[in-house]
Amino acid sequence: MSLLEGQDLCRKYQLSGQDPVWALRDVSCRMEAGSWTTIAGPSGSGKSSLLALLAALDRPTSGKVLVGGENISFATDVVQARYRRNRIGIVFQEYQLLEQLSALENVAMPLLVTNMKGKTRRERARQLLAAVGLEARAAHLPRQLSGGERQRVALARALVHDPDILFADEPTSNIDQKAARQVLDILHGVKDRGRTLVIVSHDPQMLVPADQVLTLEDGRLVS
Amino acid sequence: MQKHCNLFVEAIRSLLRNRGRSGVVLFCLLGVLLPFVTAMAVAQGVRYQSSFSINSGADLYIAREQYGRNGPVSLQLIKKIENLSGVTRVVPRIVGRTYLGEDLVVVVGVDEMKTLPGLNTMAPGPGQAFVGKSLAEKADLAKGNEFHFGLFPALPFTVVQLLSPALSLWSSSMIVINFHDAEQLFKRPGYASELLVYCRPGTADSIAERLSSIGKPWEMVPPLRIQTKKLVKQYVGRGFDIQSGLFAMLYVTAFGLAIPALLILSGFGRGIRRREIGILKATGWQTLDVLEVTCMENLFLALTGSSLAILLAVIWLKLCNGIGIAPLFISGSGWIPDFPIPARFMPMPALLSFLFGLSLTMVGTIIPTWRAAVTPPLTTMN
Repeated sequence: MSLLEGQDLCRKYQLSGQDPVWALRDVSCRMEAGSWTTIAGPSGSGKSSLLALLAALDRPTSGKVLVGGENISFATDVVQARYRRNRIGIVFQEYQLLEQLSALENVAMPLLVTNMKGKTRRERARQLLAAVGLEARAAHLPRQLSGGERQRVALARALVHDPDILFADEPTSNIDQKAARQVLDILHGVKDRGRTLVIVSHDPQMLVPADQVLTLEDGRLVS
Repeated sequence: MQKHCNLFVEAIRSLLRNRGRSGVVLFCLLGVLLPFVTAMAVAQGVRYQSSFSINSGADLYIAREQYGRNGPVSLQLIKKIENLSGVTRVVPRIVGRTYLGEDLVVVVGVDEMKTLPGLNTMAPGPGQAFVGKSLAEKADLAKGNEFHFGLFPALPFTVVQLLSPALSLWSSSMIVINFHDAEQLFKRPGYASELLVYCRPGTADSIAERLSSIGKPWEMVPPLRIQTKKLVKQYVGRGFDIQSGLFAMLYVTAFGLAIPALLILSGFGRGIRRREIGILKATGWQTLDVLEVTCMENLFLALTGSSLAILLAVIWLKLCNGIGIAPLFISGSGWIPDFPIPARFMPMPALLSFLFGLSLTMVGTIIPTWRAAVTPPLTTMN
């Protein structure tokens, strides 16, 4: 049984007064534990929509996502939130950091809803920040950080609860070459620890280490 | 448990982080709660003073029936009442209104100052008057001045004492004269507007019962109107209840109007809030976790809002003497009262103001928060 599986996933967006837009049509995919999957394709091909469905950030119009054999696409809000909290970590394209919180607080945020005490929580967040090379920037607000640094804070937040699967949406798209290299190194480290990676990217650097590349075009899986 | 502690701390930090939004909501809460707490404190203060007056007053108040109202009662009745067992003393009193210059003033004619709560001095002698301080200021009277009531230049009075407004709410705007002078002034010699009957403890009801037989048809006089202390308390209490009830009803209406206003105001920063909720949900927070933090924030806002409202109400009433709110509860007092406004801060209005505040903030935030929390995070984040 695969760790993560998408079966006949379709996602339709209905905008008022307009024809429906099919972001995904009958996409099926499978990710094994400890593998690196890169989802590639041109802009608007449905890469981020597929990631959102696999990460239970959105619900498919039809089809299902199985995690360890359990269908989470139409599970309750509670089950989906538990899945996001315990099994996965997500890095968003636009970082999605809370602007009023420091880097350390942003990283520790997912741990607030666990039974971890404040000191332990901060210690764990500090370790993660150190792992992504940002220990010295712990007290900085997101607006005081560069794009690459924000991306690494987002990575630290996604990894703070040690998830089985890491989803990353265009993790190197908005940052310079040096920062992209650092992010890639971190992702390699995650893979080396036996975690599963699902990366949305059109960066060729992300295709090389992948065990599997899913190419989407116009909402369909082409290879 | 640790999780709830974490969320509790997070709620406080969130309020401090979002100072602008918290400030706007607190400001709205104060706008709604401050008049309520202040008005309730004044109402309770007046009620307490009335209750004190009744408690320290006579056991029975006797007047004659006159078209369903209190009418003058003959002084000949005093002997009859004094002979009833249990009666310790009977004091006649005249309370009326007449003109002082162009103003109608309350004149009390009495020979025992003890019958007026808080006034334990000797009663004024013939031709002497005790004048309430604020009335004296208004009429430009000082100790030693001579004056007469509008239509009675032949009956002059000398101001021998100014009654401090601190004694009781009513003393600052009345004139106390000798009972005999009052008989002359109101041209009803041999009559009082009421007889104050003081009894031995536990005998008032039976004395009232015996008195009620005086004035039966065979007596050929109008029946007596007998009010016991208990009855007066009930009347006064009911009066205040109606007044407070009316105020509460008006307030509930205003409260109802405040909800949409607060809903609009709480939209201040809602876009950012919605995105935050999306991010929290995406990083594993449950809908209940988000709602718990929101409830805790509201709890703090309501607690802070009601505490601040009480503090400001204390300042408003004790330091600013209830400028602008006194006439709503004390007839005859101006917008800037010239006597100390009685005020009492009781636990129930404080609790009510907290509950008002909590329900206002809850109505303003809980539904939008819940809606954002149950929407897929992808939608709320973007």
